[in-house]
Amino acid sequence: MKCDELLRQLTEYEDGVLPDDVCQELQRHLTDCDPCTGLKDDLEALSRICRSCTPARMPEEVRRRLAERLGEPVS
Amino acid sequence: MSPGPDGADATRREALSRALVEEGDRLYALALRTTRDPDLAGDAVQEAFASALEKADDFRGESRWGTWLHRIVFNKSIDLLRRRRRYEPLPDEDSDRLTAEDERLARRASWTRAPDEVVWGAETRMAMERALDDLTPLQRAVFELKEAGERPTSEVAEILDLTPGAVRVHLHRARLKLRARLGDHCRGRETTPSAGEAKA
Repeated sequence: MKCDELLRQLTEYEDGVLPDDVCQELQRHLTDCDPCTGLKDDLEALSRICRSCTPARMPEEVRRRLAERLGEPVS
Repeated sequence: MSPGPDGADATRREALSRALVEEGDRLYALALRTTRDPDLAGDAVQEAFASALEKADDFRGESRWGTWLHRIVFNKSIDLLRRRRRYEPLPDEDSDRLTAEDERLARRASWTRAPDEVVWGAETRMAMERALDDLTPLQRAVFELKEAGERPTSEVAEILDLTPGAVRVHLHRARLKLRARLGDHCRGRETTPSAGEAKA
């Protein structure tokens, strides 16, 4: 497997949808290729950064208006 | 004379009220990520619930109420951006296939700061928020649903009316752009060889 093939298949690999033999090829490539391992490590760090961000909360005013609307009878 | 709330109407209101409690923050987060504007995000969510009430007969139960609502919220967010002329996608930027630009971004040198240092800094999170501005609304929506929401690809595909393969392409492109934009923040003095130099 070459680097550009890994690039195309990395997200499928993470999603668990690649056949076993392709997964093994990809893993072998990662073992031998520092740049691709670096790319994969960066993307995993990016995921952790995203999950460490405080999730957005719906403003109370919006929530109140919606709750009121859902409590209204059909006109 | 208006008909009072019938059984079906009461059921749909109850389902939507439950979705508001259980998924309200996630629906708003999707709208905010997509529009990058708290006012538009609030409008998108309110319009989405109004549509859901009007069109609840279209809901056939193939998906969860929450999934259906996410889909409406995303569509309303894009509608509002277009109405404000803030979203005119370029021909290639929302392509379902990886492009030469994606490959170029993948060849950028790796970050070298230790993961904990990268992950936990408030500055890093602020840098991430700024970097999200460079993504298209669709890329931000995919990123929000997959990375923050940790939803399965099949559900993201259903919400965004894409194939699972297209979701993966948009997610990959979003992550490559963010990695490149965060490079200056996360890269130390020492860099490893860039992807593509060694074995391409």
